[in-house]
Amino acid sequence: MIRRFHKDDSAQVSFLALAASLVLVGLMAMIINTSDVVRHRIHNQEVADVTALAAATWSARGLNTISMLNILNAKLLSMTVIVNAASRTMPVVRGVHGVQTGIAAACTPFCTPWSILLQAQGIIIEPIDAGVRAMEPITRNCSGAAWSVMRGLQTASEAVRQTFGRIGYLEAPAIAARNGASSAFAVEGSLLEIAGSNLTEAGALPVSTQDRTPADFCTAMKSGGPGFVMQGYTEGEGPAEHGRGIWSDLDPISVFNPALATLGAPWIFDGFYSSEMTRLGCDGSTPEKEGQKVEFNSLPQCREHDVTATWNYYQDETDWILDGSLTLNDFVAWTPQDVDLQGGGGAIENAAAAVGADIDGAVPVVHTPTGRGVSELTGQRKVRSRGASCAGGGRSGYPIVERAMGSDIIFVGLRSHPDYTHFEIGESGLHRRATSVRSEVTGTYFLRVERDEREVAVEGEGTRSEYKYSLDAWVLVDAGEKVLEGEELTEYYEEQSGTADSGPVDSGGSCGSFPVPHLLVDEADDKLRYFAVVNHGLGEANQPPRPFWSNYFSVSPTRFTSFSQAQVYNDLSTDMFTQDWRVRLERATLLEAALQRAGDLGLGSIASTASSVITTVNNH
Amino acid sequence: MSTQAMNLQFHTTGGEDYLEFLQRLEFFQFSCVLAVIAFSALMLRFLQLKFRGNGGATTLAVGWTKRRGIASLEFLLVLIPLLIIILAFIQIALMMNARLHVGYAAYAAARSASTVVYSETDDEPIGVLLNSGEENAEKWQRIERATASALLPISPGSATAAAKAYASFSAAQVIEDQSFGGVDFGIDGMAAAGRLTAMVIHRAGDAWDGTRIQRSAVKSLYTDLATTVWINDRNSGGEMRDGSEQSGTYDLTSSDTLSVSVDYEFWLSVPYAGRAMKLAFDAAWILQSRFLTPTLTISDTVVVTAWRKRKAF
Amino acid sequence: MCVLLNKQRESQRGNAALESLMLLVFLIIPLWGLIFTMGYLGIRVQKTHEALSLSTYMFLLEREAGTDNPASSAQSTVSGSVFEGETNPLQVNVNDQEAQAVADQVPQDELRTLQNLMGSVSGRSNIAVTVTRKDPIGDFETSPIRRAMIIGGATGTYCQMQDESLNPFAAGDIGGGAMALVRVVSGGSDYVLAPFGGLPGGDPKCD
Repeated sequence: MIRRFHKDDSAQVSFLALAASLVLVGLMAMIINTSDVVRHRIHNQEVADVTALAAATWSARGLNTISMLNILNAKLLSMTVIVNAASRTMPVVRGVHGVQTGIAAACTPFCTPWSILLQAQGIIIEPIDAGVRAMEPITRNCSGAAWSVMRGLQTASEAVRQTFGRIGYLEAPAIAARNGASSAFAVEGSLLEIAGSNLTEAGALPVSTQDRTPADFCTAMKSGGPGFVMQGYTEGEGPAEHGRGIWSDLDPISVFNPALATLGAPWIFDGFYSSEMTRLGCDGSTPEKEGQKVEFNSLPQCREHDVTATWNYYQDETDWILDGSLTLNDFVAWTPQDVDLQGGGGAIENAAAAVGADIDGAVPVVHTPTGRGVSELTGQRKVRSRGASCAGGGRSGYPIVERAMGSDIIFVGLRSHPDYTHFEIGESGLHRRATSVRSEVTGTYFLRVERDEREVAVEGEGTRSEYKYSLDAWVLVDAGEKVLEGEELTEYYEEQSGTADSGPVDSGGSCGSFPVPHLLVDEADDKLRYFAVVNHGLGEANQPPRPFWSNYFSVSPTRFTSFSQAQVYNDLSTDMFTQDWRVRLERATLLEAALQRAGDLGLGSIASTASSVITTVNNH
Repeated sequence: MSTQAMNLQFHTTGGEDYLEFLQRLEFFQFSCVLAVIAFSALMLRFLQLKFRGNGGATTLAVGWTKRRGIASLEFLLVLIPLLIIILAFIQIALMMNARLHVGYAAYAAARSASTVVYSETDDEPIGVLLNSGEENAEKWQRIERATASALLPISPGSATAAAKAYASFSAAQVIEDQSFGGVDFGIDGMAAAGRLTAMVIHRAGDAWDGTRIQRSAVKSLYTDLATTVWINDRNSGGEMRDGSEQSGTYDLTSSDTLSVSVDYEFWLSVPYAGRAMKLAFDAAWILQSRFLTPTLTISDTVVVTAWRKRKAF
Repeated sequence: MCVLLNKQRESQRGNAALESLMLLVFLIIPLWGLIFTMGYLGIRVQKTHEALSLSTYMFLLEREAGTDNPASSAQSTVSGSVFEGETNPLQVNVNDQEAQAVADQVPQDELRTLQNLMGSVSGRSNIAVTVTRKDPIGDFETSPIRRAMIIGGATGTYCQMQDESLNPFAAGDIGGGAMALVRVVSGGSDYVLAPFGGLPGGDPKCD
């Protein structure tokens, strides 16, 4: 048998072919392995790049959003300045126009051309004045529409600040996972600092309103900047200057065209404009808002700020009437006749108008007399004004009034006086007995009614009874005023924004510490960098057992790790009024810096060694 | 013995003259191959003779012996072409593998360039590359270091092989310089090989022991010498790919993309097949000393985004 | 019998050359062909990956610059620079995919404010960039290699925020009555507010 095999010599080449085949199969395995490893490495690096960019993009988007909101607030603030200046200008202009018209009329017929010009000017002034008066409620007071919008925009900026960075942290590993990574993370540069990192702010964008004031809008409002040029403004001109130019420049496009120059309109406007900007603090002076006089409109506020409320005491009476059945309730909806209802604080109508007011204009409250008695009243007179200190706690703020106790006269707080009944103005504008918290706002009042009776002889009928009602009324006309500043002022306005009882607190171009821009914090550089690490491969728990040849040959890698770094930048202008934040990849310096810092801090020789190694291999 | 070699005093670690060592090594390798072939033939013949059948006519025995001799000759005649073909296939497969590595190296170089070029160092502004000969030229170093790591697996690990391969492509550069007339390539090759060995020893330093470190040092050095990275057709020495010389710095500030090429001199290590492959690509190689290991330039180009800051207007 | 054996050996001797030829043609050459194919495939995959990388970033940059059809613009740029001179087509496809998973993990109150703020901006969607490349060589043409990368939104932040369909002011805090005012201030189309400053002339960069 063996002989038969040995006689067969045709198989000599087969061993060589078999060996060659084995070699070629081995080579094929090598090539497959090479292309597989290379493909995974390239893909893993790409995923790391995309992960870092995803985290950075959210940051850039958030910064662009906040920039847009800052720009809008700057525009709105500019608008309040312009409107307030215009609303103060127009009465003066009308006055000047009126005087000139009178003079022109007096010197007729010599002044006829002038009269014609004045008539033309009157035609121009009318719509301007109407437009200004239409806009004025929007910017007036701190509860006008413009201020509400600015408050909303600032709140929105804060929401963006807190959420966008965190969303980026969530999305980055999600993107990596969707591209096939086993695990990934992206972290902003400041968190890689070994010491001094503020973990509570992790994920928040590097902007803040801390130590900022409305005056931080001034440069943007006056000079604009690259961000405003992007929006179409002329270079060097911000929205406030743009508006001022339209109003006061002596060119045909100006609202005050040259024809009105004789009225002094442009210069008058300029003066008020400067005044409004000064009020904001835009001329470098200390802004008036630091120490803002605030008029309170409720006794709780009076007590909180320890001021003095003012009550007016009125007396009113009917004539002798035949109806003897009137009671106190018949005199509800009594109103004082001497209190200023336009602006200022404390008027009943204003307080009522603030209730459920629509920003398109206050709805006047109609006081419907609920009783017959009110219409009989004839002789209202204000007797006195009295202050009431709110320093005494929960029941303070009410005046001390006389009370008859037998033959004695004692003094009690109005609220405790049994003869007086407390009334308030409800949300609907109807008067009612005091039942709610509204009972301590301005406009609330206490009534006391007394009835006198007499017998009167009537011819042919004998006698008849006649009655006369006397009414005493105490009205809360204002809850005190105080100059607030700083934190106190901020807290006050924050309270006002949430309550329905807020009343007008100021008129003019500023509302205390509001609005303020979100600006970049110091040392924001590292916070605008994101470092991402991506792993691809089997987890530790799922590693296959090492093959038997692993002692002699290297086992193929089952894990690939890649890193990447992205930067958020604004090449046009690194400020929060330029809406051009972008992202790009950059060299991964954060890891080196972090390890270097660890080494400097003496956190171990490993950190220093790793740092030097990283410096050598970190080439992208 | 060349004067150059003597002046540079190259010796093996055992103290032997390097030239003689390499010459003897070459002869030894060639002799081994021949000996294996001869031994195989003789062994086969011996086996055939030993196990031939008993009996049969003398004529048949004589005829049978003749037929066995013919079989052995036939075996040799088939073996040699087959060997050459198989070796060629192996060489091509290794070249394919190398091509994949070079492709990855080009990607690594491009990824590195896309960010490193637009970083700022103390001496190199954003978008500007100093030639590698300049002081504090850091960017080219980083890019070439990124490339080298991808090419280490396909670089020779033994000093001899690396020396012979390096000598071949540096000698080829001598040909291009038209110095063919009076240069002994053998001598230049020795000198180059000697230099390589000295550099390997220098680089390894006190750790000149242990095979791994030797191999790592040799691979690293060979990769440095054999790799050229071109960014937009210009390399770290300031040369342009079309041959025109550019000096000074390279400004890539306004590029939107970077075209990064990597040229790598891959050593054709398979005996005979490597030389045949080289001759197929470069007939002038025939003039080279048989002592040197031929190399082939493998090249790849990758285009990447230039991650520069973009102005809005 | 000897004659028979001799004849057998003669025929068997002839088999050595034939056998080697057959082994070469049917075993070794196919093996080598397989090696070559796997290597070539690996190179094609690398090239497709590189094309994907460049396409992705070219797409983002074109979108940021406000180009009308950023995907096809990126495609022509990549084809021109990476596969210069080749006629086989490179296709870049872009798909927007909603990333709802991200929203689930954000606190709901903040999310509501955020959703109201950002409206329908594409920042909450992911984009899948797919590059497909057919091979110019004969039989490989029918097996295009396709590689995809999913990216988070885009870097086109500036132009997106300029988009008129963006409605960042739907937050409930502001109140319905202010909406008209806000739109006028941000939209730039109402002449009434023009004298008071603040309306931009418009930026053609994102048109």
